[in-house]
Amino acid sequence: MKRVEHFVVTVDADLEDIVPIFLESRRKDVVELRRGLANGDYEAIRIIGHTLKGSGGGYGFQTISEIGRCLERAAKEEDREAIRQKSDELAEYLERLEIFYQ
Amino acid sequence: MLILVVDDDRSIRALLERFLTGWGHKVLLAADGEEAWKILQSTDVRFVLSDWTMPHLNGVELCRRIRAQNQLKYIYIILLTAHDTKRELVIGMEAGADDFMVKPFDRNELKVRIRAGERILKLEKDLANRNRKLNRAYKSMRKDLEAAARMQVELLPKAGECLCGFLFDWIFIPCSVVAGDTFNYFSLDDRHVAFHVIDVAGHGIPAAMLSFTLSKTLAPAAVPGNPLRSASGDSNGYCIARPAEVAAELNRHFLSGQDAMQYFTMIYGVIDHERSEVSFVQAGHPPLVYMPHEKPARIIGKGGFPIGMLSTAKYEENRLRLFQGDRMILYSDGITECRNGAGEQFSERRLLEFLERYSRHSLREMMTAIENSLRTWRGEVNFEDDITLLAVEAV
Repeated sequence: MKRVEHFVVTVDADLEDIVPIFLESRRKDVVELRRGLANGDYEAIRIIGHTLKGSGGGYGFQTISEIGRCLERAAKEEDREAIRQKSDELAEYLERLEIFYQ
Repeated sequence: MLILVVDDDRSIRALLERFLTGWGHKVLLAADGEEAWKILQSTDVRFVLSDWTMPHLNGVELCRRIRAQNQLKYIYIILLTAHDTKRELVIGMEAGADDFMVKPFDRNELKVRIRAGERILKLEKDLANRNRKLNRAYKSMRKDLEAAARMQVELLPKAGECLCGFLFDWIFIPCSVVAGDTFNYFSLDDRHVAFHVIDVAGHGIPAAMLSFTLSKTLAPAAVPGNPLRSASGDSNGYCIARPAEVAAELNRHFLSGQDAMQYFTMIYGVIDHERSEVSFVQAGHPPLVYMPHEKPARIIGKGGFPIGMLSTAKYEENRLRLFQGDRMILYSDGITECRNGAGEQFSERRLLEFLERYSRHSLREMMTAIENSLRTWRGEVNFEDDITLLAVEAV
């Protein structure tokens, strides 16, 4: 993924009050992903990846769905490097996210 | 519409709730299949939007559980899942989901798929209502039919009755609730006994109505218009009409219009007990079986035209003598054309064999034996046509 200062995403204004709930869950996912990696719990990582894949796009965060898809596949393949990389990518994305509601 | 959203991800529940309420739906939320199941047991939810992967009870297991419960109300289920292969779609639909949507989902697609589900639920509801109405109507018609059938049975003569030295017995099995066959016997005066067997073409209510009318028409009462009597100079002003006259009169009276081809076959006869003589007319009906005592049975009659079919039809009379121990048998084609499982007809030959085999038994025993053999031949409870057999013995 090309790194930029901010990830700008436009989200429907009617979702403004529930987006924080979504982002909070995703931040928890970052913590759980790192814990899964430390414990070698690939099943837990696969499930988180699956959830990310399904939920991101609904809110308009296609990137999160894409990261989830990669994580799900990496967990199945037990590809630690890819999991680490994608977890970091998610953390960074959440960190630098800038949302416009319209 | 009330929609149950089932997803273990709080943010997805929040998102779906937002969309659905925005489209005017009411929403219930459950975090897994077990929680959803409890809600389904206590509410009237008809629409479920469920995730697949969830702890405790997943979406596919929830589908199976809903379908396994044989409920009267139909529950429409959309599986909304990040599982995206064809194989998973098949598993989900086989588990009982009505629709399958892959996450991340497009909100407009979700909207129209929910609308499609609503349409199906509405159709299902309309159909259930219509079925209820039909069921009510059917029950009411069935009740009326059964009342009509009771009236028909009440018109039947008493089995085992002896009139002027002639013993009468019969078998009668209607193929539907009401019958197109009818028969009767009764004294016309001290010397004469009338008998008839009638088979109205067709089945069901139209045939039964004509059959009922005929039962009432062919009655003993010496009243004007009774076709069994003709005007004469005797003390009552009436004398007993000859069977051929009766057939001709009925043919005039019941002649079908071009579009209403309703006719019937009949044997009508009069026994003169002083002369031990029977005169009868055969109007398109199966022939009469004459069974002289200790002698071979033989059939009498050349056919004749059914009544109500042809205005120019002529009717001829047959005569025979019945002395003590002699019998005569009248029957409807429901007996000879009764088919067994292999499609073979019972046939006139087989009927004659049975009649001869039981000729030394009492009339009642003969009736029972023939009824049993017909039922065995048929091999099932229902017959395809009315079964009528009338037996007379000079005693």
